[in-house]
Amino acid sequence: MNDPMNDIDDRISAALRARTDQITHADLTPASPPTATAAAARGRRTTVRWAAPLLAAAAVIAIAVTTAVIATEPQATKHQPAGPVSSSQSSQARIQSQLAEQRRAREEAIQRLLAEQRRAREEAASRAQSAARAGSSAPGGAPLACLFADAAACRVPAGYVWYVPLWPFANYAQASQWATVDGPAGHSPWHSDAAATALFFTNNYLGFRDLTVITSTTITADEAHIGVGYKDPNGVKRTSAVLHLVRYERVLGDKTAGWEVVGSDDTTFSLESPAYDSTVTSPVTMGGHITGTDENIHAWVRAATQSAPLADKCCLPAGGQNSVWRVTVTFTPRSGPITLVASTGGHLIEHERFAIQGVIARS
Amino acid sequence: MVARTAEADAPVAELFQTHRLGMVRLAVLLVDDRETAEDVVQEAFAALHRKWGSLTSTDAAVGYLRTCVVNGSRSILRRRRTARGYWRNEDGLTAEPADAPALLAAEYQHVLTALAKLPRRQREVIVLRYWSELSEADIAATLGISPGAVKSTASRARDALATLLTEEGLS
Repeated sequence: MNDPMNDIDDRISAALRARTDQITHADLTPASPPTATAAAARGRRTTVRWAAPLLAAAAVIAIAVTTAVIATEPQATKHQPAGPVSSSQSSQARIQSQLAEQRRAREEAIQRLLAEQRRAREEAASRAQSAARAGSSAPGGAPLACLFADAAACRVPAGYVWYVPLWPFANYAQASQWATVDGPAGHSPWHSDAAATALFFTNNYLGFRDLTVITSTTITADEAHIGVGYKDPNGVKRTSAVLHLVRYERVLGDKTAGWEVVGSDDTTFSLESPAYDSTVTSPVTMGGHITGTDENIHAWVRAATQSAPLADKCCLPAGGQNSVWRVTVTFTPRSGPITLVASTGGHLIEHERFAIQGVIARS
Repeated sequence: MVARTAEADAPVAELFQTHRLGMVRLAVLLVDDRETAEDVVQEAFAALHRKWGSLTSTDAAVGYLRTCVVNGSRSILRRRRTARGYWRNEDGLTAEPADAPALLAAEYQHVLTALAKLPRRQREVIVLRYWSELSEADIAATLGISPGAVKSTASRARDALATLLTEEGLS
């Protein structure tokens, strides 16, 4: 069966490769690498080329300063990558520099994760604003929350990416049933606990029963990022994945709505393809990046309405530094949200790291 | 200045041998023609040479090169925008080498034509994701945007490409 969205991925990759394969070493104009002398000359030329505008700008600023107080801030070049300055080329300095680089990489990974969380929160707020601008409103006049496609009838901009409801609620009707009928009666109170929902998702839905520890929690009114993992032989908590949950609600800030797992915040093991919220059919090619040694990637396809996996494929050898991995999985045809799952491990426990992706299946 | 940067000559030369072709290919996907791509890459290596003292690893150097290529391509496109519109609308000419489209399969050419119609950032994300096969985090670092923006831009670009190909009856 032909999957149009995977087909698009394949067509893009093939077209780009075909274009670049047209260029070989033999086609390139002979050129020499830059040298100190050439670079210095280029730098001098650059200085001269910019001297006039710089002098003019300086004159303007000088005049302005005499007439008004100007507050200025230095601005970093947006696309300029920065690195720690190495003042010495000795081997010791190199080692220090490499250690600093490793620290910086760790810090950057943390910052990326935090940035992702901020982005998700901003998108949720943006969705609510879009709903308000579209004039939709819930009973009582509150704006509808367009977090899920089936939760509200508000209009959204083109290209909008919905959250995909993965588990425990298969759709808004189920979430609403619990929030308005079952929840108040005391049925499954864990739906109101983001950490418990994340752990149940991992143990009961994915079947990863070796992951029993909550390693981190970041919870706001409508969103939660919950780390799930295990304890290593030294008793240190290790995070296998950070799950992203949102409240399955119509009105932002509704504390009575239950939590829904919608994705994972991936770092050293990612599941990026097919794209989030894309439409897929069987077979589907799953892929992402991995950093590690002697890894074995196990892939599944799951649906909230079915206890058995729609597909189970093992094992793809992988490893390296940020290496690309890819596996094609054939799954039982069905329609609706499905969870693509990939895990790797085997060194300490079976599921040391995992990642999930929410997509829409079409039979 | 010259004494310090002279230390960069050998490693930059090695990177030039190893990565020049790949960087030219990346630039070609962003600026369309090989000659301009070569200029962009030469500027990128010159910038790398000047920056060498502050880079701590080969990976950092390659990442810096990639960012320079993307930024250099962006500058070229910005300068060229008016001329490109004129060429395509009035004369049917493009900056592509004459033989490039003829040598590409029609299917690939359709995809590349659709890609050229995308907004600049969407095109960059598509190229970095599907050709360079970078992770979202690396694309974010290259473009100076958040990983979330990479994810949403990639999704929109992919949808836009699908729509363009469908509209032209090519899906």
